Amino acid sequence: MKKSNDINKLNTNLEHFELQLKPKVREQQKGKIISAIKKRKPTKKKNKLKISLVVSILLLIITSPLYSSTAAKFVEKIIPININNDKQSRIDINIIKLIKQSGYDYESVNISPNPFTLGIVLIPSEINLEEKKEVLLPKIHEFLEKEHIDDYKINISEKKSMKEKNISIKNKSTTGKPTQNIQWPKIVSHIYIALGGKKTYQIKSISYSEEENAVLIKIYTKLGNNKDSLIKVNNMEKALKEYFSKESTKKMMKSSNYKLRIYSDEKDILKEIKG
Amino acid sequence: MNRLDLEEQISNWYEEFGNSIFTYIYFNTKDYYLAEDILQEVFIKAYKNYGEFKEKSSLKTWIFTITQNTTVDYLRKKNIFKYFKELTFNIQDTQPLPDEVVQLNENEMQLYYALQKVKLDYRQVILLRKIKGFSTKETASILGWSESKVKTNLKRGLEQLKEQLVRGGFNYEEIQRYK
Repeated sequence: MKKSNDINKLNTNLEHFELQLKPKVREQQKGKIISAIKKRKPTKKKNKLKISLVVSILLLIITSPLYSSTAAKFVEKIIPININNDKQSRIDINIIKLIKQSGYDYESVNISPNPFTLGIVLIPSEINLEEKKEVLLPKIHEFLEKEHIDDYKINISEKKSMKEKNISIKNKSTTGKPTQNIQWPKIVSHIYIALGGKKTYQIKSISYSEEENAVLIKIYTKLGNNKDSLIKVNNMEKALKEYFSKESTKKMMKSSNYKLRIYSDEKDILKEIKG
Repeated sequence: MNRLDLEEQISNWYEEFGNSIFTYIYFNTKDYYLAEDILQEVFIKAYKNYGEFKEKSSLKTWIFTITQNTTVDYLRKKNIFKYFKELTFNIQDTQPLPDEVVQLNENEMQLYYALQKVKLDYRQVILLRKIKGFSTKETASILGWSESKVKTNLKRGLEQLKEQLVRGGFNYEEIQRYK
């Protein structure tokens, strides 16, 4: 009885025990916080200014009476496509680097289409997932911006428990999918990574089907059947041809041929490329 | 947000939570200057992420969650968990806050010292539940624990605090009368 009385008294004492900082100290702390937050502001303003400047220049070009297909070509030129199978340039590899640099462990990083989605699964640690997101998201946004990826979603989650993981493995093994030739999925993913997530090219999805000694890759877009789209399609064609002419790509393809079709939103063939 | 709005917002938050957040960080780090740095970081994060505050919890719980995570993260980054652990078991003497920062009377000083000597997990839950006035659910959310863990640690923590107080010759009746 005495024990519980003591705890009750202790509770009462604790409820009144809040250290009160002196007013002068409080004012100083408040001042320091406001000034620390203000110090962060100029960088944001600078970025805003930079963005507004770029937007203004683009608006100027688009609304100019001298705007022509030549001007359009200029606009397209500033959004380059580089389909690459070099590890350094792969988005997922670079995202993994960013995660590691931030001091976190990851389970997987993948890119899925429709819409272009970057999926990151982190390994739980003593740091809360929200905190990790807070650190990672600005870095990822900055990186994607550099890669001209401007139409995307990011899902950051944490690894599920082992129990749940086992279930998913079990499900996977019972799907009975036939073993695939890994060459074409790799090539298709390189193309998707280079084209997807960019508002300019409006990629809906990419699929492929293997034929005898060849592959047909279909690139579905939301592009219309107009002059502007043609410029974009030509840009894609150029990048695709460059990619397929690379020695490293040829090695993956062995001696296979390819056929590429770029479709409009209405499913009309905008371009067919053979190689 | 313009300059005046910003100052007003931060000022309001500081008036409402600043003292409480600072003393919580200080009880966890036992380093006045480090606690001030973390306090600044907490306010910067809260200000930056206020748009993401979904009002699923109270503003106070949200800010305290940021406080807890920032403190743990800060200590982890600085690789001073060892130091943190040592403090938990109170190997060295605890230092009071400087007189120019806070004035404690004799009984408060005793309670302050005893609380510093309590194991970190227990201290955090005592601070949040009993001194900062959070509910079990809110405390669980801030610490990332289950509610049952909060309850168990609080019970054990109060026992440990009581032992520390008795060891220091602390008299409950006296402190209660004093209050």
